[in-house]
Amino acid sequence: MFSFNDLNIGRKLLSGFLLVIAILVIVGGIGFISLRNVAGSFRAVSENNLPSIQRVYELEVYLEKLNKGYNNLLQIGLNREERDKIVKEIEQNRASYIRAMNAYDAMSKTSEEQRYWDTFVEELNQYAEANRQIDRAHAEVLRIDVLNPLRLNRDLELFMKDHYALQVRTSNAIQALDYFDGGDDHTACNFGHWLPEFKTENQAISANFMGMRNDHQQFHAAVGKIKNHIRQGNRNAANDVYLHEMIPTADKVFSYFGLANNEAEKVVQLVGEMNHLVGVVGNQHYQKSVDALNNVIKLNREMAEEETLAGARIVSSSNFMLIAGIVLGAFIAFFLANIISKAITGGIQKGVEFAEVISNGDLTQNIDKKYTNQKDEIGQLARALQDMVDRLRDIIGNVIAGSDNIAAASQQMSSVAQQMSQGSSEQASSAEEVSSSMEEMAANIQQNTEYARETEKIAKAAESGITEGSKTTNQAADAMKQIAEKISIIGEISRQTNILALNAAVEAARAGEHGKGFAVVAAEVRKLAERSQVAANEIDKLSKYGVDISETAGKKLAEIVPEIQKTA
Amino acid sequence: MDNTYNSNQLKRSYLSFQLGDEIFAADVSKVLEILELRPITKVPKTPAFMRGVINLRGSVLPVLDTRIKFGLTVKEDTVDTCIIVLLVELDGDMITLGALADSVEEVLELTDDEIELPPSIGSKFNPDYLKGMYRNEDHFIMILDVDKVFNAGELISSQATISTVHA
Repeated sequence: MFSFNDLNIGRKLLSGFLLVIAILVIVGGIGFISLRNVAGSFRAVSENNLPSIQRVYELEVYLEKLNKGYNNLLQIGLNREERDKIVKEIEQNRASYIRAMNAYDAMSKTSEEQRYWDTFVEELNQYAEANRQIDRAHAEVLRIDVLNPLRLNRDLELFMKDHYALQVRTSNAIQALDYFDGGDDHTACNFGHWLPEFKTENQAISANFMGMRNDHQQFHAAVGKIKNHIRQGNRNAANDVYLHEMIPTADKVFSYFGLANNEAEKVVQLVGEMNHLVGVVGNQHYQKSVDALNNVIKLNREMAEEETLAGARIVSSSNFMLIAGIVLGAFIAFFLANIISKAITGGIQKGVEFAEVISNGDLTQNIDKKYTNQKDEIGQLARALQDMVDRLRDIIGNVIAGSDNIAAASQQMSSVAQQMSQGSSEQASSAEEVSSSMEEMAANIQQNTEYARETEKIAKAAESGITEGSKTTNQAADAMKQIAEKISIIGEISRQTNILALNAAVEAARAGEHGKGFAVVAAEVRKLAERSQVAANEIDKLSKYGVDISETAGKKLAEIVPEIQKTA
Repeated sequence: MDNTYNSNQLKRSYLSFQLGDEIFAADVSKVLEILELRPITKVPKTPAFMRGVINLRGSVLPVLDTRIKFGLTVKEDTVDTCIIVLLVELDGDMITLGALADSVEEVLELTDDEIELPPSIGSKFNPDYLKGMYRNEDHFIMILDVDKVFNAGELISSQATISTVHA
């Protein structure tokens, strides 16, 4: 089964940091997405709603200016330049509002906005239709070129009155033959003063007045002729002139006046029409379109407020999420740091405690399976420590076993030696040598035993004593080698004694009856020699066995020493 | 053997020695002494069983390798190897010679009753060389007729050789 403990320390740390990085990325991602949402709200407000409002305001302003322009056109008494100027302004404002309109039209709209906008466009079209009619009427006014028809009417009325008055006066003067001053100069009358100053683009009127000028002159000339006739007292002549010259010209002049008056009336009618178009039809559609625009503005303002509110909501919610993410992330990171550090330091702590226990010489302890089964460095450390303890136990066991072997061998030797010393005491000349050898050997054995005991103690006390033990076993081996040498001397002596005894026995046998007693002694001596030789052989064998054991122990100890030094 | 004695009751002494796995014995009267093994001077042009000669208190003593003589496998000498100095009657002359033994055992006292006749067949040794056999517990001791054993023709040549050496 896979376990987090089985990861090595590097991977543990790496996985911890990766998790922390993941948390960081998640928290950062939340912040980033929230900011993007907020930015979206702001962009919606700044790129859509606010420019919409601006464009619509512009549109409104230009429309108002346009409307004002048309209202201005309604004023009577404006001359051509002023009207041209107004028309030019109107054209400019129209171009401007169309520009604003196109700009706004290109922007994205909600369905509601689009509905208001459609209403506006519909109303605007009707308004434009009205304006086009106004333009046509105005163009007609300009074509007629009677820019102040009321004044023209008044003037013409005055001129007609003047000429009626002159006609009446002339008639009266003819009756009374009463001479009167004036009336004969066609430039002196009001019309005569007015005419040269009057200018118009209207061909009909111009032609009218050109035609009229002759008749007017003839009219005044007729007055002159009548006055001459009056002065001469020739009433009939005067009356004749009056009837045939003055009245027809007067009718002609009056008919001309009537014509001009008709033109002026036409203008008045046109202006009236324009008034109606501007004041009623245009204004109505203008108001409606402005209302629609105001609705658009209101809608955009509401949407902007809504977007702003949405932005604020996103900010507060993402604030909450960010704080929650940071708190959660910090918590998880803290938790992870705790687990990882525990996973690392716990195992090491255990290892240190175990090492201290070993250094105190307690080799009975084992490391918890939980740690040795781990696959990370902690597990390696635990396994290594466990192996070390196992190895140490083996080594100490070997040392103890070796020491026990030596002790056993020594005991065996000591018993054999005792046996031998008994035999030796029965032997005559060689017995002393044997005994002395035995003493030496006993001493050596004693020493050996002591060394062995010491070795055992030292071995139990572990590392430091091992070297000493090795030395001691070597000494023991040396001592036993010495014993072996000494024993071989004894063996040699025994053998020689045996041969001597045999020779003696042979001699005794050859001597016959006389040699019988001697033969018995010789046989006894031979037996002793044989026994001492057997004993010597046994000792020799045991010493060699002892030497082998000592050397093996020495070798083992020598092998142990570096390992013990390694573990120490 | 003296006929006046009850020969069956007369005890005679024998020196027993070992050669390979077998134990042999020789009449003590034929044995002069037992020597420890010492350096043996090889004599050229002698039979294989002639080991050589040694100096025994001033006189030359020929030494025979009994193993070869008896047709046993040849073995290295050990510390127990001894030279038994024997007195052998050769054509009426008494001569001394040394015989190598793996080890010398003991001096036995036996009556003639205790000595059985050697088996005429089935023995690997020539029964002519044996005086008899003695059963000692679980094994047999072969008692040699020393004069016959060392009275073979070869010994003459050995004697001759030694004489040549003397000359």
